[in-house]
Amino acid sequence: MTRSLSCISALVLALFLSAGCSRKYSLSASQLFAPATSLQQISFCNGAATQQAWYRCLVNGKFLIKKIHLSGLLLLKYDSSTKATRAVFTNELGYTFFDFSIRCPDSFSVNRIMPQFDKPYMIRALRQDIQLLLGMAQAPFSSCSSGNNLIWSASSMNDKAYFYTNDKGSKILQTDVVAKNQLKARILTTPAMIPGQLPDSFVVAHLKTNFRIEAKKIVHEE
Amino acid sequence: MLMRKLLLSLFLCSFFTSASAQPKGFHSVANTASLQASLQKATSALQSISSDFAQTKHLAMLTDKINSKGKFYYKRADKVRIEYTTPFRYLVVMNGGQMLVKDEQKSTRINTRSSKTMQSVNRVMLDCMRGTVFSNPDFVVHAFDNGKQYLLQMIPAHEAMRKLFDEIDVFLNRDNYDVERLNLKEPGGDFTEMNFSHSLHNTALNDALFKLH
Repeated sequence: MTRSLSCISALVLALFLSAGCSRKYSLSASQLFAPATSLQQISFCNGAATQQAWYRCLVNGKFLIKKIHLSGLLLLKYDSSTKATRAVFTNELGYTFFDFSIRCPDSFSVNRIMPQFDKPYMIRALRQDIQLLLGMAQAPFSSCSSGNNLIWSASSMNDKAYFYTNDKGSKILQTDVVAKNQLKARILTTPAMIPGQLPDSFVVAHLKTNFRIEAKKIVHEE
Repeated sequence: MLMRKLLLSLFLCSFFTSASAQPKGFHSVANTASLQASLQKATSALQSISSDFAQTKHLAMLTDKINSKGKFYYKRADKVRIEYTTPFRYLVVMNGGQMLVKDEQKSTRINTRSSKTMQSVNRVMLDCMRGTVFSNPDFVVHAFDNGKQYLLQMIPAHEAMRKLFDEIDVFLNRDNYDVERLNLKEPGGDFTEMNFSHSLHNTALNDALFKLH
């Protein structure tokens, strides 16, 4: 826990100060986006948010010359009583770093957060990561095809989100977050075998703030 | 008359407060000094502990639990090794004010003497594992007994510690003062239980277990 406290402080500082280098974003699609008229077309939006998984998480970042490393466990679980997905991140010794409830892109609440994480920019970044991982973004969605994939475009907290899915739109493979025409973050997912399930693993790369979250599903005994 | 009512209210308040603070099935230890002396005698003879542990994290408002298991080692006077083996690998070693944390990717060495909070956390972990909680200045300790176990209820004494913990409960075997269970309660209702089993005392433990690299 002690190591975690110092790492979190540095991570928060990195998020706050780092402007970082940015990249011009170009979409790998030759066709124009067309409005997605029915949400049912976007099956990934209605699946993952009602599932449950524990992940082993490793966070790596760099602030100036100082490297930051943090590890822990992340629970994503749909709570039918509140119709919200809970996202709980703890360290290995069991201490809770944060506990969020996410119902839809506009309905979000913090149940608990440790002081080192309790910064608006930190909460915003984590909220966006988790929402996009669950396939949540603000309608309207539009889509186009790109090779064997579909690309879905929508808004996410004043940024643009591009979901790259399989040809059926049932499995998210990659999500790009674009702000001011520059790639801000990329989420690469290894989808579960069954469509609509939470991914087996994912990597979130925050390009501006230079930190990276790696997560892999764990199986635990009841 | 007003004063009498006020005194009665204060009395009732204090009665209900102390009644609710008493854990179910336990009663307050009348002679805490005697318990402290016995505990000190038992721990002074303790050179090492090795045991298995099972940890369960309980989440407030959810029925979900996350279970993990591992090995615990203690060697007099300030060496601790907590080794998680299932369902992930994670290692914490404390040795003479230094701490090593190792996960799948990286080993990090921390000097706990450089931060007061880290010193406190280091100390509370050591005290909980070896049963020396009465001497910890960061907590007010209340002792309870149920005939089989002593329960040492640690209440944070200052704000910094209150932000981390609501309460820490240390359950000791009444016969040999072994730490059998720890319950770390967080603000907000989450809590983590660690149950220790197959404890061995005073066996030869290799110093390599407590190496900080």
